[in-house]
Amino acid sequence: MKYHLVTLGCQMNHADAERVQAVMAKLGYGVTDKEEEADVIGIIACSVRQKAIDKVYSKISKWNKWKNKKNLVTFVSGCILPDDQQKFLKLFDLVFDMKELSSFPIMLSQYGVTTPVSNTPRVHDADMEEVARPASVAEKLNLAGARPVSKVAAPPQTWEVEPVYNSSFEAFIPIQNGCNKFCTFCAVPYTRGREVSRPSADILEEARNLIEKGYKSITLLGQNVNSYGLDKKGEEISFAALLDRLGGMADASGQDVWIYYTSPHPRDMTRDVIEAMARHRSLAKQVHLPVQSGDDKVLIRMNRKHSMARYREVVGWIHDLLPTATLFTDVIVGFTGETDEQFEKTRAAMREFKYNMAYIAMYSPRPGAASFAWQDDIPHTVKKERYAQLTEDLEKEAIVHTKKMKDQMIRILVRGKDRKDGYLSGHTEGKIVVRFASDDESLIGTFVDVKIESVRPFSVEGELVTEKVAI
Amino acid sequence: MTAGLPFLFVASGTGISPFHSFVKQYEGLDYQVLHGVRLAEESYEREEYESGRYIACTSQDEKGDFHGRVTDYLIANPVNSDTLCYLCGNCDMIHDVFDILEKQGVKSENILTEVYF
Repeated sequence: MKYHLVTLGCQMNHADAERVQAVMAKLGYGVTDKEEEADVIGIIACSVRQKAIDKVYSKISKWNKWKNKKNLVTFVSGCILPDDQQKFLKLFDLVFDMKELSSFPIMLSQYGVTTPVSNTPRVHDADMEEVARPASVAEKLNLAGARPVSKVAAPPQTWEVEPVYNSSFEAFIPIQNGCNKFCTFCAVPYTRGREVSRPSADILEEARNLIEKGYKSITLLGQNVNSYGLDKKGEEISFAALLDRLGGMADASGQDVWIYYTSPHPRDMTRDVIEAMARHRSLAKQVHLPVQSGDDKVLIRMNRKHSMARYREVVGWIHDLLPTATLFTDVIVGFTGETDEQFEKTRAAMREFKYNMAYIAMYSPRPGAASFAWQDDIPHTVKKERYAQLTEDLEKEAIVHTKKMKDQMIRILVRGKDRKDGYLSGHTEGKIVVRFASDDESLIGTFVDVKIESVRPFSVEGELVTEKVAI
Repeated sequence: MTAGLPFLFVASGTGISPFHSFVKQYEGLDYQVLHGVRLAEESYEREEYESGRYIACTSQDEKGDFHGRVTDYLIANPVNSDTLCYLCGNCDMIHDVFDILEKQGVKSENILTEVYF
């Protein structure tokens, strides 16, 4: 029996998907890339953009039509707003929160699905009942064949399930779930709930295993990583201390690895986080610090709880302590009430902070978020103009950085085949995309040196100099 | 908490809720609550605050402590520039109060905001 999984949205959703895949594998399902071949089809939904939710409705409409011709079970999980959840209950066979992943086997069983392993002595009805018991999350997953990383207090979290990593050289480690920030444009607190930190011992253990297996890139994931540990009221280490331990362990391992994290919050970012990054060679010198707007009044309306002065202070620490670090950001243009003057301040921020990369989005109201109740009063044409203007500004800043890379020999992690035929591509420690001519796919997942010959704002191209080097 | 400094809590409607627990958590706090509501009957649990520390600013009746919006009250009663100010509730109210406080010499880092609606 086969399953097919569609994953939408952010890296956190992809990390969740790896854990769903682990459960499906332990239930005996094989994976298929072709949804037409699947007996079970699932989707990890994203509510950040309307486009992603529209895709869920489009997919389930198609899959439900197939049910006239074949036996098919459908499920949905991930980031789902309450209103959509009610609608999905009528459309999907199974709808569950990712925190309920450990109960997924019993859900399938109760739905009348005979899983590939359900006739084996290892997993039978009694075991399935045990699997569903909330107090024994760790044990129940053992019954289904998946190994829990640790036993933690209720409520259960997705990270209790050991994932099936989709890559042999880059991995994502969830360190925290949920958000307490309540930015007015964002629905995440309503889909993922409040901040819950994963035990640091589990994080260190998962990272240690990955490093021992030779993983080259590890990204720590959380909606607001700087709040890591705060929910444990003094019983957990801070994010800076977590980074310090991870960096120390990775440095001492003798392995070559770049450790990243996303996303930090300017309000909660502390200088000791940047100090930890400076201290350890394994902590990659790249910071993704969302600014969202360059205007204090817009930041208030967004409920970001930080001013530009605070943002400037954090960037100052980065420049002081990590002079080689690249700086990425997120920006929303056309947020409710954003005037031309306020947009100009965002343009000024783009010039001041000289970002290497910015993910710019045109504002769209999300049901469930506070701003959904406000008039979306910036015309779409104006949003498009601001988007284009800011992208142009960004390109002018970014190319200043990439021009400095020309004729330099740069170490990169090769990530795969490039869209350009006969080329491979990867990224630098600072996550600048690099492509070079090569058909040697054995280089994928290794560090190589490339001499940069031509540059564009967000990517560079060069010639392979040395193969498979240590950093 | 920053000892000895005066606190100003400005709320509109249900934005009062965090301040309710705030003053209970920190006994002996030197604070003033400005609560913007339409009618005096919307002054939720005003009895929970120490006498003289809660001011209901009512915009649609004259039964409150001050007839008018919280912004009107602040213009008529300027704050000391060393006041730590917390604003919670309606976004437009927060924007207007922010401007008034800055003009009265309060540093922006001493103005904390929570947009509820």
